[in-house]
Amino acid sequence: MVQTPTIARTPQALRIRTKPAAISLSRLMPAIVLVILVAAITVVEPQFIGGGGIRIMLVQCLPLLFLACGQMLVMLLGGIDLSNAAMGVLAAVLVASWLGPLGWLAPVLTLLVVAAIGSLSGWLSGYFQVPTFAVTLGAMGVWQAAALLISDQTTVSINQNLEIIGWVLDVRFLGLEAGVWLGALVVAGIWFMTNRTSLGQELKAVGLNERTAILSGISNLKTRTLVHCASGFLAGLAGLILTAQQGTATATGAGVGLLLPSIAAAIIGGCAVAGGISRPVNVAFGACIVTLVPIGAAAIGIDPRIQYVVFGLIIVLAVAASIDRSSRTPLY
Amino acid sequence: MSVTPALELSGINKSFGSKTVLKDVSMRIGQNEVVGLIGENGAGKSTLLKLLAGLHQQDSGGLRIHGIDRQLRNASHAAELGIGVVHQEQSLLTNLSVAENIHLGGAKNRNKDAGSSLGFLNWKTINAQATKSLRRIGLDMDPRAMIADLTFAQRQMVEIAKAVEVGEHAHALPIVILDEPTSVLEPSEIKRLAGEIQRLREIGSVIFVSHRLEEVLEFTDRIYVLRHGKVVAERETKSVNEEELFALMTGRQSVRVREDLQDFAEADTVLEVKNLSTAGGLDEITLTLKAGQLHSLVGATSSGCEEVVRAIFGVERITSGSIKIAGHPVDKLTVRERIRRGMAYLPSERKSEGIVSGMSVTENMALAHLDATHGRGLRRRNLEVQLSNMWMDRLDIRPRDGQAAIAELSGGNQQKVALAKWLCDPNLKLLLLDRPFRGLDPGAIESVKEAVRQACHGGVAVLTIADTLEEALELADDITVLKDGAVTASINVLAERPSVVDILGKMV
Repeated sequence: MVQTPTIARTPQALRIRTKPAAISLSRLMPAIVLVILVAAITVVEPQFIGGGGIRIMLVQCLPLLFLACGQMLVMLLGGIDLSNAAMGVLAAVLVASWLGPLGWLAPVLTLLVVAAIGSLSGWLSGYFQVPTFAVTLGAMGVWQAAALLISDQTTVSINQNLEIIGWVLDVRFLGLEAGVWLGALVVAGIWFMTNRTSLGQELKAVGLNERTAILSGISNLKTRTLVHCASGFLAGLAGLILTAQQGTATATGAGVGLLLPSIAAAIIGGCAVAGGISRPVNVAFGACIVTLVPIGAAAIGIDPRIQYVVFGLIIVLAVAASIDRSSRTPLY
Repeated sequence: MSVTPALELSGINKSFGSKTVLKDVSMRIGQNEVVGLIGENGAGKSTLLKLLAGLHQQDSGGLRIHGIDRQLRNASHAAELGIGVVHQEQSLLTNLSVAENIHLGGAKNRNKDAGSSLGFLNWKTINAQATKSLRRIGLDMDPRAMIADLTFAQRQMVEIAKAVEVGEHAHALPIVILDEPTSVLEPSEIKRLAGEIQRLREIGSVIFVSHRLEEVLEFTDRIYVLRHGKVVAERETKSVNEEELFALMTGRQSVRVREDLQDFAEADTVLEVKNLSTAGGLDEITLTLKAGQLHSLVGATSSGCEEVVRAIFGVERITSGSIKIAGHPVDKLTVRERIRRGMAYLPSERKSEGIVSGMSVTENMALAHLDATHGRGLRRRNLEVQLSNMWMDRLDIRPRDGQAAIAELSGGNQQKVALAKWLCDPNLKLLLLDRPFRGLDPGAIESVKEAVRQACHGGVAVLTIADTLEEALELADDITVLKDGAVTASINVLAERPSVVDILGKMV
């Protein structure tokens, strides 16, 4: 059908380019905001750059990065995953309790479990046509409770085999921890999937116009289940990193508060709540920004009690600067 | 004419960036006159309307309303001066009542609002005023009815009442602009609209914008024809006919010759529908389509035509009956599997179901057959570009830019892309079309018809829901008439040569 396309010579007048293919400023905004933030911190604390501050930040933001990437994929379909942090905590608790008895099987099994429970949320929302907001709100409570039960409400400490997951933060390639490279790999993989594959086109189509997508033979049940599966899997990675960072895991510890930052990072990265947009690289910048703000505020010496005020303001400003308004053209 | 015209445009120019949309447009709309405004998509009609509605400002040229020079600043300014617009896409708030909607339109435009005091609403006054506005155009409707419960036609009538109400408060004769008001109305509703336009003529002036030439000829006193942003003709309605208007509007002669009808008795059977019933009310529908045959479904709004097509495509659940494509049963298959078997469906709701705004022309074309331009799940850009270049040329899609966002194309070109999405399948067997010409200008209609005919010549069976009986007679080999979910007549055009009246009799 397409072997010998007859590309007739078209009159010059027809060759109107509707838009120059330039990268709009809003797409560069997350990077610009991040550079400004780093510069501002460096002015106050010159050793931030020299003393490996950047590397520490990259390692610090890894759990958030994975959660934000999952959140981005769910948001690409116009949904939201309120259960991702809870799945991350569940994964942290699971891997901590399984590492001793199961060894290297523990992380594998953990990732499989959270990917499966993530898929369940997606499938439920797709099959019963329930908004993801409602399904994942319920799921959040369930997985939080599950984490509490499994950990018996105490800190799960790891007595042996910590190195099975710990190496991602110990081994370094080219000066950066393996975990950071893993983050980069995930971002690159998602970029490739969304931009270069059929699946990416299907996700984009469902996110932009679900009805047209369904009538073009694209299954919204499949796409929805897949993005929530990915969100669960990535939350699992976040949980593994959290446990590796601390050597222990609790159902109430680090990770519980990462839900809203993951949404913030995705939105700073330019994702639209209405769906259809995925920009993994910008979401990575968003995760860095969200991680840096408290670090920067502490470095500058801002009273911890008003740190959240500063955090809130910077998030709003960053979102205002980077959000894509092109699809929100006014009525006239 | 000694009387001051209601509206006078002189030498209006308007451009967006380097693109000139209106060139030296001059028009005069008299008091108590109905003026038609016709033109193809992209001729500048909508820009002109937006100018009159105060949503755009002209670059140069003058605007006189009731004899006074005016520069419209914004929409509420236009409303203050008595210009009411009934937009093509309805703008009523569906969760409010009729009276609330009418009140909303008027409330902003008066210094003293009788319907509210100190911000509190006086429901009695609001409802009484709404009843008065509705009566003025001859409507007897409960002002407390919720918009959501009204039919499309009833909503449109409320819109007209709202537009009149706007003029009312300007203490001038209202100038009501109707933008494509008939495109989704039933014949009986159009008749009703005709009556309303007569009443509007008595209380003010009307600008009637439409693609449908026969209606423009029926409703108006005078007609302006826009082409490429210029007024190319002004005619007294009595002195023109449809052919001349078509030629003026498109710059070419109308071709309306029915090609020789064929006998399809020997052709392969593509679609076999037997005793199809749905929960939605379809009752034992039976249809057969042969390769190369064009079959038209006709019926009033709730007759079930759309459900038939949707059930065949697999997006309407069936309760009994069977559907076979080339002999294979498909009624258990998913939409994707049906598409693989050579089915295609072009919905009537183009924006919400036919295209994906936010994607490019090329991406839209590739959407239903990602395998064709993708290898092992990976996109192959060169194949995508080849495919879209080929179909942009075949269907004359403008601009010839596969990277263009589909949202920026005109309605006709969007429809061509939505069609190319299916025609690009070399395995295409059955094309389901739901009112494919709705809202298109005559030029685009001709291109789409030509593409459909070519598909038929290539052996594709086409099942189409016709917007009008004339359309069905012009295109179809077979006509099936539906009423209340059941077939009331199956007509072979070649054997029976039916007339419009014959078919109409089976519809009601």
